[in-house]
Amino acid sequence: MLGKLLKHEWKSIWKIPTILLGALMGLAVLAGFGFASPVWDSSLDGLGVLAVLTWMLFYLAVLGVSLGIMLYLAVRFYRSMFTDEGYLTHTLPATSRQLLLSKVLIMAAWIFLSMVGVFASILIVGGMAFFFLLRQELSWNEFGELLSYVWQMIHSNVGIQFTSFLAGIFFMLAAGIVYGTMIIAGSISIGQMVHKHKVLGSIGAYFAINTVVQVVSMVIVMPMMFYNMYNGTENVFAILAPTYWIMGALECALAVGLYFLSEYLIRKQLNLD
Amino acid sequence: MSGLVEIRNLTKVYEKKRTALDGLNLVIPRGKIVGLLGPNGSGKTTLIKILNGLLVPTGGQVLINGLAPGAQTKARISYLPERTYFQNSMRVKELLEYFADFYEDFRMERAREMLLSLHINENDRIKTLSKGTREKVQLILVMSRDADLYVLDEPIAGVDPAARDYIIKTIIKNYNEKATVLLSTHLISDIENILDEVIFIREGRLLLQTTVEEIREVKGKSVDSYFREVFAC
Amino acid sequence: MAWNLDSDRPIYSQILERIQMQIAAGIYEPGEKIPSVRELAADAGVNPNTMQKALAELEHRNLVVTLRTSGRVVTEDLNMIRETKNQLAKEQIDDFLKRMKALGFEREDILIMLKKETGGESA
Repeated sequence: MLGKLLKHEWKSIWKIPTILLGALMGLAVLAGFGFASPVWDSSLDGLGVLAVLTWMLFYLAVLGVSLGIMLYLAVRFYRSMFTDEGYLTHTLPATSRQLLLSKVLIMAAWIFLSMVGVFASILIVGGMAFFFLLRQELSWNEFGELLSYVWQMIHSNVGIQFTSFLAGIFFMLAAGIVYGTMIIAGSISIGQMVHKHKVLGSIGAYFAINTVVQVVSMVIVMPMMFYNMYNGTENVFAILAPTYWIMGALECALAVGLYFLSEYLIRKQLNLD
Repeated sequence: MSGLVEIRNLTKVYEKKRTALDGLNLVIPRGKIVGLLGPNGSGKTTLIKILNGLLVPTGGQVLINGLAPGAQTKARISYLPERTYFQNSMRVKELLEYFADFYEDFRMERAREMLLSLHINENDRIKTLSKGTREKVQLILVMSRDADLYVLDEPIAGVDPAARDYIIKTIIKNYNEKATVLLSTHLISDIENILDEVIFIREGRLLLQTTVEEIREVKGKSVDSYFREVFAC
Repeated sequence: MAWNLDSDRPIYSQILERIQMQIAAGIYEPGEKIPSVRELAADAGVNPNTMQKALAELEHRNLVVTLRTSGRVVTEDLNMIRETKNQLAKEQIDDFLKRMKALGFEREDILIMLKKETGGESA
């Protein structure tokens, strides 16, 4: 049953995010080619501004697409669980757990894919910009040397801590995906309890939960970072460590809590109009 | 043999202390077409939602084939709600596959035949169909299942007379003697000829459960007239 | 589409009468196959259980027979059909006479009126 739910959930959701990410990639390539124009060869002063503008627009596009995908996932979750479509969803021969899990897993998958897409598009633009701007200056060999030099720099400065830093980053990203999914599913499920104003309730819950996370980061993480700094820890990665481990752990805990809360609300407190 | 649906002392109180069902006791037999009749606010919708596992009761017990509402009972109940419950962007063909995938008792050929007889193209998207056609599609999907219990909520409301005839015929033709059809409606006179039994509900309690023939024989009037008499304001 | 049934009389008796009349009048010919319960019920717009009961009663009265191969058919017993037809006619006449007497007509007047009303029409 879970397999079937996953399959159908994927089928009903994949088109729009794919189109958005595809458009983003297309935009990235366009922006990349922007750097190929002979404009850059001249020594006009405004060129710096032009570069910044191009990056800004691209950044807006990235923002737009990421937000757009999150919004789309949220709307699909809301529609299929708590509006007229809910009459079909909740009368399928499946448990509330299976229903919720299938939607949450597919949402998490798309949040992950959207991160990958954004990262890829940045690489595309960055890579193309680098390529076009520097091909006059560097040959391929020199470019390769530059890269390995940068890599060594990072490595020597950080050593083992770099790997733990990378691990921390991945942990944070994973936590971000899990948390991102559950804050959507959770706030919408909480919102549906507020009878006349389900959408407002969801938005309210979303901001409330986010605020809690911000407050915790202020209250716990910042002091830890300053403590580390004052204690003479020079390694920038070690200073940042609290952020990703603690915040990551907090987000995971919150995500788990939200999951069980949502499951309870759906199983026991469902009340379709 | 016990009834298909056994309801004991069923209570549902919403927040703000609104009691929708008040200790309802009811047995719905197998193999009958039963009308669930009552004025607005009598608890019909609440009862239907509870049977379908869409609402959790405050007290009491509901058993369908001896099981409390859950994934297993949902596999044996075919529900036609008052509203259209499809994703509008889906095509009719995709809906057929959806039902076939999730419901083991779905009879694809039967559904296809009925759609064909109505000249509904499987490649059409739901949103391009007229409201009446959408409702017929929904009915066809629901009646193409070989369920133990069909719960039809206002199947002929808001539909033209010719479509009503079609819907009534579809219910009769796809009715299987071992199954029960529970029909909730306000349009009693249109539907009473196909009912075996009627259940009158008032203020969340069972008022009366009897056969159509008995009402006509003993009271000498149609169910519609009798209903008006019983529920006169 | 649905048969015009009175809403304040039991459905069972109405459909029984109607099918019986159709057999008596030859609308369903002797030996002709009768549609299935479900088809008849759908056509009449009535509950299949009720239709089934009516058909069972017709079988009990020997107007309808279930053959192993062809299902339900009208009886081939022409006497049976004629008897039924006569019985139905008698009921109509009794009913008519009762109502005429209630209007105050006597036997002779009734006969005269009948002759007048049916005069010139082929028997």
